[in-house]
Amino acid sequence: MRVLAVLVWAPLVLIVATILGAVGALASQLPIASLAEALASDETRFAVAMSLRSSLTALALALALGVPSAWLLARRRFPGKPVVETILDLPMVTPPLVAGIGLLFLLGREAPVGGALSAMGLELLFSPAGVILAQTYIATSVIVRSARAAFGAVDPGFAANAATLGIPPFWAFLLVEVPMAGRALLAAAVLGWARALGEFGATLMVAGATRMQTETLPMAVFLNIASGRTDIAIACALILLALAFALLLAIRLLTAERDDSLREDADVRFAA
Amino acid sequence: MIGAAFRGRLGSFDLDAAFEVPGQGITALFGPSGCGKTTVLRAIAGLMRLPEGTLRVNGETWQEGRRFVPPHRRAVGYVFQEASLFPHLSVMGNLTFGMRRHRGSSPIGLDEVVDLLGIGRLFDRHPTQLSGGERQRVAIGRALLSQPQLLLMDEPLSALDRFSKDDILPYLERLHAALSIPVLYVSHDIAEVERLADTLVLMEAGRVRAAGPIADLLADPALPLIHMPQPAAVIDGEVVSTDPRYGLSEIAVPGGRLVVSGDLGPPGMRRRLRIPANDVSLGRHAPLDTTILNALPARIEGAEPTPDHQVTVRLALGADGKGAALLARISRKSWDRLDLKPGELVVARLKAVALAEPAPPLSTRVTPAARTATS
Repeated sequence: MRVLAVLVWAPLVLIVATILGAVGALASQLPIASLAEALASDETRFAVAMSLRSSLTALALALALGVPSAWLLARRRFPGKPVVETILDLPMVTPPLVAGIGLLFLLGREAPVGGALSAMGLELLFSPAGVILAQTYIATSVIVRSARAAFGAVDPGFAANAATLGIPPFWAFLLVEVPMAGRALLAAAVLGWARALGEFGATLMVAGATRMQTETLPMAVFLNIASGRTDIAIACALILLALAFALLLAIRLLTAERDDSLREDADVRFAA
Repeated sequence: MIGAAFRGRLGSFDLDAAFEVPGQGITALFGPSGCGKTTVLRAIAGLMRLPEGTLRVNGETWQEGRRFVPPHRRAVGYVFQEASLFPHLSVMGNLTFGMRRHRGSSPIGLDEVVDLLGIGRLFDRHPTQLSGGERQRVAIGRALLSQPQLLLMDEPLSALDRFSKDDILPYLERLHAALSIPVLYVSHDIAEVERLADTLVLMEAGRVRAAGPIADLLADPALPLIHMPQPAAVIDGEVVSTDPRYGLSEIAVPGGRLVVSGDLGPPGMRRRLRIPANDVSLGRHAPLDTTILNALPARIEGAEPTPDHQVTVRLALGADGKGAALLARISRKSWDRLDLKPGELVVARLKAVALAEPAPPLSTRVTPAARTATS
């Protein structure tokens, strides 16, 4: 019994200690005064604004693209579906750098797609729009996957039921399926947002690392570590950590409440 | 008039079902599990599209050739086997959900439905806080409030226990009496069908074996219903008078009058009676000394032998043999000893005549004692 306890507890303690150690080392690197100064610097403030603006826009785009796709994948069968699903998962498992290079070549001025967009006056590469593109690309993949599971958990009978009550399919989707998948969809959105906030590799390739222009929080960490401004790098890293913690906590609460409701049901059953 | 014809292959199952039933009253789609009843019902709702299908409901064509009206444009109400109330809405939210669609000039009102189904006190509850019977009543109310021209019910009682079933059946009967919407009712329980249905569509292995008035089909020698272990006849009648002294009611049925115990309501009230074949015996003469109250002339239409040395005799009430169909199950020996033959006049003695439906609720029932006291 004692051996087992050591065997299971020791790895857990080790993992938690390592994570806390890394976070603690990061936080204790700077005296409070210089940390406050770095947090208040123009560059940090720019990076925060840039990250929030681009990641929220990317989230909106990823939801608009991902939720309908997820519904389609959860509800319809079509030829080649397994291949389509595999393709959709690809951005999640390939290194973002690889995704970024692909996008770069696809959208370069010499490439047909990039050329056409450029002719329309749309310059995606090496601009804030490129940041949004890279983040959307990564977030969509996450959202499609989680939202698909969310819709999959809703019995399609409910939509059929709404149809027999005279509700057209689009309204049945909005009034029945989305609210029923609600909590899980919200968790999917938070997860997608977290991925967009932390996106680095694809952004680097598509938007470049230009100070005060395409400088998101991860980009600020990278640029300032490279150029020796450790204080700003640390400030931005700590902001990212705080955001990540808040978002993870949000996801946990969103899904934990469901566990509670399950337990309540079980209690009721026992009482009955 | 509801005319349906569907044909198609579903996996390894061949469906080829066609029937025409009246556009009023309750029509039961009856048959063993897996015979295609639910598939037909889903096709009627438009939830399933069979490649070959024709469907007309009271003059409207919902499917024919390439024409296919999508489910949300068909004025149907659908009550599913398991009450599928929306879990994210309260009872009230569920009830009003289908009210967005308003068609026709005489909509069914919320108050009326709530009254009819007795769901007034459940408004603020959540579907998880309802009993099975309550959930199903709310689901029926929701279907009605979508103002259907046709109500489809897919074994609405099958997921309920005995207690909840008895709780909900009277409400279904009240619906039947109060609303003029035709109902298609899928069931594999003959007791439910005998109690509720006016018309019966008998299905077997994806095909319609027969369709017609329930009383006719129950007594049809070519169909399996008469060969069941406990066959019965159902007869619709009208209350003529009540006798509070003995607690009896006289019911006029086609071809005669029957005495039934209990106060069955004011004269003119429609009542359905169920007469098990095992409770009917036959004689050549009216009985002189007997405790049996009901002895009616009837004409023998035919007789079907059973495997266990009995005979199921088909009768028509009345000396002219033009009244309601009745069944009597007697022993082979009695049949031979009395030398009975089709076409002959006999006296049917009914040991038990039961209402196919339960007595009305206690509050509206006038007990013999109460009557005596007030008169």
